[in-house]
Amino acid sequence: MWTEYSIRYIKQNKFSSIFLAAISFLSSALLSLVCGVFYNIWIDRVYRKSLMDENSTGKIEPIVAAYVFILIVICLSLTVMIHNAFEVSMNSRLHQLGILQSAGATPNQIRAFLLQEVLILCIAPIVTGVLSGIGLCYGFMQLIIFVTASVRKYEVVFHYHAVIMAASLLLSIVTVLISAWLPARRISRLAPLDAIHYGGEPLVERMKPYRIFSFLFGIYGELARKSIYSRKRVLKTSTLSLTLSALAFISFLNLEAISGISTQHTYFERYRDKWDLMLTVQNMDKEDDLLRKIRSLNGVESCILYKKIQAAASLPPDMLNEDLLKLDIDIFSDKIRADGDGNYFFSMPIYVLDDESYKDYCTNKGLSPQGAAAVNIIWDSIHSDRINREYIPILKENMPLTLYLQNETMPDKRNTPITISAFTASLPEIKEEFVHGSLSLVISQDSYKNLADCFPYEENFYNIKLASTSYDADVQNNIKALLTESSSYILESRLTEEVSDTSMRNALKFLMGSFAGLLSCIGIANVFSSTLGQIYQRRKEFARYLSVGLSPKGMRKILTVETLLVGLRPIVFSLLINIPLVAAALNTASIPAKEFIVAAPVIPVLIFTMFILSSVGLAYFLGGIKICNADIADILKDETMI
Amino acid sequence: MEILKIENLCKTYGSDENRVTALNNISFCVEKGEFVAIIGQSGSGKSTLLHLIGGVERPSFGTITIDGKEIFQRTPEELAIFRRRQVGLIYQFYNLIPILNVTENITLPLKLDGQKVNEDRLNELIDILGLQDRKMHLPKQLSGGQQQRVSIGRALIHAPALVLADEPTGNLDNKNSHDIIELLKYSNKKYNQTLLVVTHDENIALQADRILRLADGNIISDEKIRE
Repeated sequence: MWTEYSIRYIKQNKFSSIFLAAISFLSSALLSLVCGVFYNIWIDRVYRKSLMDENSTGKIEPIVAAYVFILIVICLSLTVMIHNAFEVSMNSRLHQLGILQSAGATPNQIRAFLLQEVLILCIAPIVTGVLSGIGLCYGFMQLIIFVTASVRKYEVVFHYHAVIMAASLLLSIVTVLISAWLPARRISRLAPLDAIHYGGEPLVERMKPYRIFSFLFGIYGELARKSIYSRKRVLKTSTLSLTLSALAFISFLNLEAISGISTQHTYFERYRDKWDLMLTVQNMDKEDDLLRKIRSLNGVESCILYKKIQAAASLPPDMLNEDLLKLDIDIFSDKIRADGDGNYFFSMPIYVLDDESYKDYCTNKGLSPQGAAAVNIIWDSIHSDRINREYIPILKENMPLTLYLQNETMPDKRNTPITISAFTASLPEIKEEFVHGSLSLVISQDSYKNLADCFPYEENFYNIKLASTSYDADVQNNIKALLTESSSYILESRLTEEVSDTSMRNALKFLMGSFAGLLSCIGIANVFSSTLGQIYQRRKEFARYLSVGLSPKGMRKILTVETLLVGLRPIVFSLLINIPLVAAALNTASIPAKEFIVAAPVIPVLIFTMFILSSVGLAYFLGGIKICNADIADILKDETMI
Repeated sequence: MEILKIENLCKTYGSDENRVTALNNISFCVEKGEFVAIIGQSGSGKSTLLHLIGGVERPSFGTITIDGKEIFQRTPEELAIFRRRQVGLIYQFYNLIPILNVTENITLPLKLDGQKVNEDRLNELIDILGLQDRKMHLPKQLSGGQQQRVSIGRALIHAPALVLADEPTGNLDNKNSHDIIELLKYSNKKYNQTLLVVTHDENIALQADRILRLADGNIISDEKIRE
């Protein structure tokens, strides 16, 4: 009897049934997608560790625990959202359930019946959703593989396992059942008479004045806003889902835009004039020969060959600038420390340029080419901020100055002298970032011969500037042709990096947009259900208005204001939350607001807003047609709606 | 002065063998300020008649003229304005707006008209209705009798030409029923409003100036009780 009753009810209440099936499908697709993505990320992590010869047996690690935690959070969030959807659906037949109870159905029977109905309705969408999630995961991985192809050093493939599918299925079923069980339990405990009476309109015991809506839209705005307030339980799922998706999407877009600006400032723009191609070659012979050949390639404007070695030195206070000594040196950088003997231990990255490039560097800076040049500056972070930095010298500029270098990885190699004969404020034009708090030195290949024993190097860097970016591909091909099969090298292109960075960002934006769209579909499904599944209640509501003189145009105004409220409120709320968020992020990244406004993600936000608004508008349009085609007199006479 | 004129009014539902004639070619007139009771058994067509006069339903045939103008020649927008300004409808089950408080329910027709509320008139009306202490209450917080008073207030706020009450005491106890009818009679006398009350209660009908008796969609008697 119960099964037949369920099937008949499902057929007669198509919108409500479709909504519940849709919501089960969407949530299981989401869970399956997340499970699949996490699995692939974990597999990739294990593989990368094996590539780096790190010990990894695939045991449970903190990252796996984090994945499980995130999954639980997602399940709970979905439960909160879709439990409300089931509650709305069950409440809409409270009157019927009350009659069943008054005829003798026990609370257990009512509860079992409701859960059975959920299973009948939702099992197929759950299975389909899980399978769709696998498909989405595959698509997601293909997109990642495509976008990261140029920057990855190894092959990535899509992975999946039956265990993951079983876990997704189990999670989905449990989430949907718990979401349904909560309202079923509450309803089964209601007294029969309460159920019969409450099976109609929401009982409004409190109401806010909403003067702003009255001011903006007149009586229609006031009625629309109050109607939404009285039905807030029904609309809870859509409110939550639309708000969460809008907040996540808009926040992500804003922060991504800020990150993009920051990356442009701190990396791409900074290095645009310093390098176009970077060839890193493991220890090789004939490095000068290769340098000469690269410089002779068509399209190459310049090429600097350099090595990077790491040294350190303990400097006595009488060598240090007095202004620096007045401040608390330790706080400037973790690279400076007092060594207990009253001296200060400085990290010293040393850049060894080929002789010709070193000579050009000294000529450009007006420095003596003998000995080493010291980049003698440190940011005074106490008296200046990151935007308007002020620098003070580290060393007293008494020339010449001899430092005694140490190699911390070779403790027996100590006190190798180096003479500083020039002080400057900038590194050569190479792809190296000035290390704050360190004393960087620049020397020639010739000077390096005295340090080679104590400071061996592993890599040569060929910092290449092109005459024009149009030569990028050709020069890369020519360089690859120059290098023999046995050479171990990495060839980076700034242009390719910039393009990859843009592609990755766009891919991430697309993914985030898809995720937000998927999440918002839950809310939109709820809007459809509440407008199309509560036609009778809304007809009653509007019949009353019509009986006191509301015109058909007035009805449309009320429904339009409701559409705007339901569709725009999540967006407006998210935008308001984003104001302080963006302000804080801009402040942290030291980016002026004007620059952000130019790069602000207006178009994606507009597209997302239009998607939500048009979906909500469609729901209200379809519902409005049904509401308007009502016989006022018949509805007003219905005595069950008291 | 004639305020309401009904000529050859018919209302049928359904078609062929399912055809039901709710009103069968009825005609009558009502003078301004008259209190008319429409009485009859269930299914006699009395509520249908009231809904047609109130512009809530359209007739299958015939005309209804109020204040010299035929109401169903109006467009839907004009009909809504007619319902707002010229007719006050009172129902057995109140049909108050649950999301509006007492004051908002009463002034709703004015707000739909875009009119400013005359506070003096509103307060006078609320005093007459005995709802001074309930102005900000929602319908859920009111008793049946109080809700019906609000419904009357909403019907009267625009000072309409016609007040139509469909079984206004059908859901009330004796005391409240008596109070409601007294209120309706009071407004009928004070504001010279024409009042049509549908009822199955003979005692209420006997308080009217005139009784129209319906059966099977026909007027079977039209009796003047008092001048």
